[in-house]
Amino acid sequence: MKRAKIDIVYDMLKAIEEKGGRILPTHLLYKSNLSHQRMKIYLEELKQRKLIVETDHKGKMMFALTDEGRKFLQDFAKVKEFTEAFGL
Amino acid sequence: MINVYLHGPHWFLGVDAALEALAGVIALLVAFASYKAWRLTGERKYGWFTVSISLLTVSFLSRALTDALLREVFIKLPERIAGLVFYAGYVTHIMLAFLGYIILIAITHKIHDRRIVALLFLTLVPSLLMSGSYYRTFYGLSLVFLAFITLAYYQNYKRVGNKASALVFEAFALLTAAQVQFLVQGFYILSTQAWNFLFVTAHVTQTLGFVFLLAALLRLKSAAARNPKVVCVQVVRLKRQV
Repeated sequence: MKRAKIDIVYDMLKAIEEKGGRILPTHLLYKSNLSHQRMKIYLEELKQRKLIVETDHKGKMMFALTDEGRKFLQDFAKVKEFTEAFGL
Repeated sequence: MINVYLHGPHWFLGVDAALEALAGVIALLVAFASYKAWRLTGERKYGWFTVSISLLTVSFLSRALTDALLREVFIKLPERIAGLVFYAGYVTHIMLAFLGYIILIAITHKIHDRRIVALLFLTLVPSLLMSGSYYRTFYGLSLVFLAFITLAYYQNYKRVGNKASALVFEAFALLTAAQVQFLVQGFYILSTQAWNFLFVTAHVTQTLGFVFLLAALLRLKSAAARNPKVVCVQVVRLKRQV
């Protein structure tokens, strides 16, 4: 089943959260199940929307979840509950 | 000359308008929650659901205002003006409610072909124009529409199986039951006492339906506030099932 854009965004942010708030690009690529090209496009959008930031951790480049990213995850969970209840 | 018909027992005049206003306010809260989902996701289905529930909101608020004016809750209207208020208010209520129900049917039954949705709406026009009684036609057609919406919500409840989906199904079942009472009451075959009794119970049942919708909304809010992590875990589990 084809994932909607919003589901891909959720999967990527969730993957970062489950890794303790920051993740290596290769791990994110594996967890989000996207091609390298598509992941780059999504990463740009997530950065533009300030949901994630690039950080340097022990000399390695990582992607970290921002407060907006955490809030998005919470709001998205509410939307999912709403979707289920109202059969959308 | 437009005749203004005032249904219901004398003591209930004005109370019905208040109950309709309450229904409108609850529908507005549901529309707002849906609007927030649309803003977050940008998905069309939330946009259409917002439109549908917003139409029901305006429909019920229009009916409440019309009834309050006709029952002289605020001011006493001249007979000619009362006739125009009755006509404008009820036509707005009927057309917006039908449009809202049809969009809701399209969403809940996943009808994506706009031609079918347009066909559904267009069949209403002759049904209303050629009807001998707008009152009976409105409640008869509302009964059919709401029964279909209730069926979709029953199937959704069987699939999802949580409390919020049960409350939404029960809400629409109550709204359908209210239409049956309005419809039977509209046939004037009963004694005045039974006629008045049904008018009151229909309004109460309809309001209960909207209260159930509010309960579902509050349950969603409290579930997310109580333990956001648990909600996230539930979403992950559901996504894995898909």
